[in-house]
Amino acid sequence: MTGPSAPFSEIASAVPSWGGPSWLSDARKSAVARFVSAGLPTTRIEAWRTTPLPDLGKMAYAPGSASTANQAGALVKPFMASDVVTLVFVDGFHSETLSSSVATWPKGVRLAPMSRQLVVSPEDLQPWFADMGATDGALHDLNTAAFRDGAWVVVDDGVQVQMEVRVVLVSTSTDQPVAQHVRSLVQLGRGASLRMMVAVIGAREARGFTNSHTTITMAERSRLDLVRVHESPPGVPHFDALSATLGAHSVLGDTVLQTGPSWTRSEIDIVLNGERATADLGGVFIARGTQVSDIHTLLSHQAPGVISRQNYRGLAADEARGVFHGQIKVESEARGTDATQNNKNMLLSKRASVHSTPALEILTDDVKCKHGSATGQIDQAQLFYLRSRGIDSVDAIRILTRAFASEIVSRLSDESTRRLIEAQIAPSLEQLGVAA
Amino acid sequence: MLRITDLHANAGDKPILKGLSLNVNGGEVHAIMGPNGSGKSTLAHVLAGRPGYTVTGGEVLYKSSPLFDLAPEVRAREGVFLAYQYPVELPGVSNLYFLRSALNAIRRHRGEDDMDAIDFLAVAKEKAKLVEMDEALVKRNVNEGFSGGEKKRNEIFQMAVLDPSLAILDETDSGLDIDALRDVAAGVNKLRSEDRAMIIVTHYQRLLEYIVPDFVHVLIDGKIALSGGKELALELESKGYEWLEKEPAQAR
Repeated sequence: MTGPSAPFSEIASAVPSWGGPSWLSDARKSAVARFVSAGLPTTRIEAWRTTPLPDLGKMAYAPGSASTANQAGALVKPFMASDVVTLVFVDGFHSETLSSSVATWPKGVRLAPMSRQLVVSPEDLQPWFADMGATDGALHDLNTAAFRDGAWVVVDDGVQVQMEVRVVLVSTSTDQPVAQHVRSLVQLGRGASLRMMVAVIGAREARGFTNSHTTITMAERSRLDLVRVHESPPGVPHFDALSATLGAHSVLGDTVLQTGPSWTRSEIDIVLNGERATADLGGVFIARGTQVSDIHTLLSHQAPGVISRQNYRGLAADEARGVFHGQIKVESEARGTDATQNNKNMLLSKRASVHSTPALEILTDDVKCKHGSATGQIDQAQLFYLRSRGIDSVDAIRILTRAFASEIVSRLSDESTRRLIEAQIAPSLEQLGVAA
Repeated sequence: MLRITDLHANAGDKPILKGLSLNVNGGEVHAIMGPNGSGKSTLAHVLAGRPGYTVTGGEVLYKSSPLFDLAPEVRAREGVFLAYQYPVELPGVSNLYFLRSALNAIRRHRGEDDMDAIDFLAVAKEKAKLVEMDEALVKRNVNEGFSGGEKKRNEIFQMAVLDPSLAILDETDSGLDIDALRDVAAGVNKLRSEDRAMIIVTHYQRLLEYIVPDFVHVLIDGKIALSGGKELALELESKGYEWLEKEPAQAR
């Protein structure tokens, strides 16, 4: 095969050999067909104008194979704790040795790796693939075509899960670069609640590409508190898609920490189609070197009284480039809805840049909508205040950048989670600003 | 402690200080008074090393060494402290963390070990008590959401913790009601000591009723026009500054 899809050509030929239910094979085949005709996204596509994909074509991508877990163990360790359930995927495949043992899984939660679920009861998964459209884009199609594993999490009606569920995707250093296409499905029943973390990490020398897609369905009055860490190594560009559908009175909280250093793009696509549903979103990217960090949000208000809050921040140092694109769509039936969007960025060098674009599309008058965007350098008055107390410039900048990011980290109300996140992003923050 | 000789300085491109000389010894409290635009705050900022000000002439010796050879943070570590007229808010930075970082920078400069968080908390509590600052404010983010009075009190609290040799108080009375003024002044008075010099920059005599200076200097058009004892402040209160601006500057 030639053309733009060449780096992933193995997938097209591999799909038929994976077996599985026929509806899935069909979905994969049409996704492959769409991907082949569209090719990888280029900057000619509006949504990709500011964030060209890195050159994936130079590497030969393997579709991934079950690999040894030794290397991944140390990387996963910070995410393990006695009071959390971890589901670990190494180079795109579930690792039973690194995941929490089934005996510790909380009651009322059905939890399984997709690879197992596809074998044991694929019919449970079918509804998720029923309305797969062609509109989501090439990388989504690629994910549908090629995913082999991921987390399947279903919380039954009325169950308040006390244990946090952690999904960790690890890239290891392998002979062949590995393209991992991971698909996770999360479903919360009526009145159910769950805390969940998704971490995408890897070994420093790892090479490949991560394409992770998480789909969330929330029934009425359910609550999901999600924390996501995007921390791929430099050789593993990471495309991440989160799509959620929120039922009446449900509450989704999502906080994304995008520290790179890889090329990272995070798409967040939220449909608020139940009355008075709330999406409370926030995140920060910490970009340095030649890193590219992109956060694209789409909040679709489709029911009366729904609320969305967005608070995104970005730090860009050296020659890093950040993108925040925040779209709010308020449909005519979404009367009395409330949408706020706030984006603040701090540039730590003259060559760093951030593109911030709010995009509002409002089809009803009965709406409260506020948005603000500000991009600037480090505040000179703050910097001097610190220096005039004896703190040198490098430390002062460190204090101010950490404070800037901490406004997002402080969203996390669970203390042990917040501490873990603080420790996890600290090295990235340490590396900022030294040249400023 | 501080010897300023014929100091000339610009704020931006504009000459503000035009030959200022002043001598401050340990233990002394000097008040610098003068009309708006006479250069009072410029003097405070130049001594602290704030960017945007350029020294164009003269010399400042601090502890017998040229002050302007030192970066602002090194001046602070050597014991120079500026209490700001407009203290800066630092969202997301806790007062405790900020001050411990500052104190440890100073301690390292002196060859001392860092103070850990627990020991520091004890010091902070003790100093907060001394200057009657609410302990809740000690733990909050630096000046974030503080009232004008709370910000000024926080400056004095910082001064108490960092224990400077030379404290420059820039318009510490501005924006304070009489009760807040009295409290802040009481805090400053508790920090008066034989080894600490203070320069109090103020437009009004009011503050000097509470912090009684040893010397009063009147700054007119970038120079000391008149110096005297604490009674000079009272004279200025009744006569204003105009009579000094009209007459040629007098020698001290």
